[in-house]
Amino acid sequence: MNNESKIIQQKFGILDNVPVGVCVLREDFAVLFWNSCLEDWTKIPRGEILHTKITDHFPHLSQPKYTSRLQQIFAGGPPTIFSSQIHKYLIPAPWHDDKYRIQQTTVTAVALEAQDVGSEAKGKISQSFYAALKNLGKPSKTPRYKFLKHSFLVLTLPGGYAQG
Amino acid sequence: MGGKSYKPPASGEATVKLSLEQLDALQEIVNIGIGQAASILNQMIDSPIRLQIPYLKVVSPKTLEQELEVQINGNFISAVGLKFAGSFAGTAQMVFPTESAALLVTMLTGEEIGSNDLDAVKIGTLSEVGNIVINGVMGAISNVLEQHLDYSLPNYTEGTIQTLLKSSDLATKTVILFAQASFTIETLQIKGDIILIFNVNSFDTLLAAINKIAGKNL
Repeated sequence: MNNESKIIQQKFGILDNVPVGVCVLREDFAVLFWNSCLEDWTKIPRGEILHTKITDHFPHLSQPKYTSRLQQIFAGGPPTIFSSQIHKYLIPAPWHDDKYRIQQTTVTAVALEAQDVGSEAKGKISQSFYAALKNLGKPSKTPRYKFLKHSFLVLTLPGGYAQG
Repeated sequence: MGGKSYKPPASGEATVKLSLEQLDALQEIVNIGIGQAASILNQMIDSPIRLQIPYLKVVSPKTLEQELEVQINGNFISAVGLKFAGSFAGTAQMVFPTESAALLVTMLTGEEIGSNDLDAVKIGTLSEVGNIVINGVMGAISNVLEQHLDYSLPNYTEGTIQTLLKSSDLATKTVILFAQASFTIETLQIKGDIILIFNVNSFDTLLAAINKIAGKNL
C-alpha cells in the first residue's frame, strides 16, 4: 500500500461501517476509496476499482453535466448536490426486478496536507487551480492561494429505495 | 473606484454605500457566476434555460425583509442556503416563492404538482437548482477576487420570510447583497432571489478585493 492509499484508508476507513455509499476521487477521477456499501450495491470489489478512473466503470460520468461540476469542486468550489429527481442515480446500483437504487448525492472536497501526500501531488493540484482560473475568463499567473493542500472529492450516496 | 462612505445603521437603509464602479464590478462578477449556472442547467435539461439577473443592490436586513414581504405576499418560500467562511464570511441563499418553485420542479421533472405544498421528493430538485446557482455565484466571487473560501454543506428550508431571516442570524450592521434571478424556460418566467448575507466587517474585505482587482484591470 503506497503512502497515498494509507492516508486515504486512515482518513476514510470508518466509512466502511455506514449504510451509505461513499467513494473518494482524485482530481484525475481515479478512485481512491470505495466503501463496503458501494462494493455491496455495485458488486464491484474495491480491488477492482481502486486506482482506476471512475469513468472507465461508469462512462456516463464523462458527460460535461457531471465533469464540469466535479471540476468546479476540485477548483475550490462549494459542495455540490446531484438530486435523484434530475439524475436518478450517479452510480448505478441494481436493486431487484431491473430496478436501481435512487441516490441523492452530495459531493464535497476534502483537503489533506501536502506533506502527507508528497510534493508530486502538490504540483498536480497547483496546475489544476491554474486551469480553473483560466476557464472562468480571468487569466492569472497567480494561484488563488498557496497550494498547501491536496483536494479529493467525497461522493456520498444514500440510496435506500428502488427505481424502475 | 473606492467611493465608499459609511452611514450609521438606520431602518430601511443599507449601512454601506457603494460607488457605481463597485456596484458594476459586483454585478459583473454575479453575472459571470449566473452564466456558469445557466450553462450547467442547460446541460442538464432538454429545454433551453435562460438565467438573468435584472438587478442587484446592497440592502440592510430591514429593507430585505420589507422587499421580500412585498414580493412573497405572506406566502411560504423555499430556500437553499450555503454558509461560507474565509476572507469574508456569511450565508448565500437562493429563495424561491412557492409558486415559482412548483413551476420549476414541474418543468425540470415533468411531474405535476397538485398543491402548493412541495413534498420531500421535490426538495431534491430545488436543492440542486439552488445549489447550482449559488455555487456559480460563489465560485465567481472566489475566483475573480482570488479569495479562498470554505463552505458548509448546502441546506434546504421552507417557511415564511421571518423563518428564513431568523435562521440567517442577521445583525443590524449586516450587509446584504440582493439580486433577483429570473429563469426563463420555454415560455415560462420563473423568479427567484439570490441573497448574499455578509457578516459584520466581511463586506469591507469584499470591497477591498474588488478595489484591488479593479485597480489591476482599469
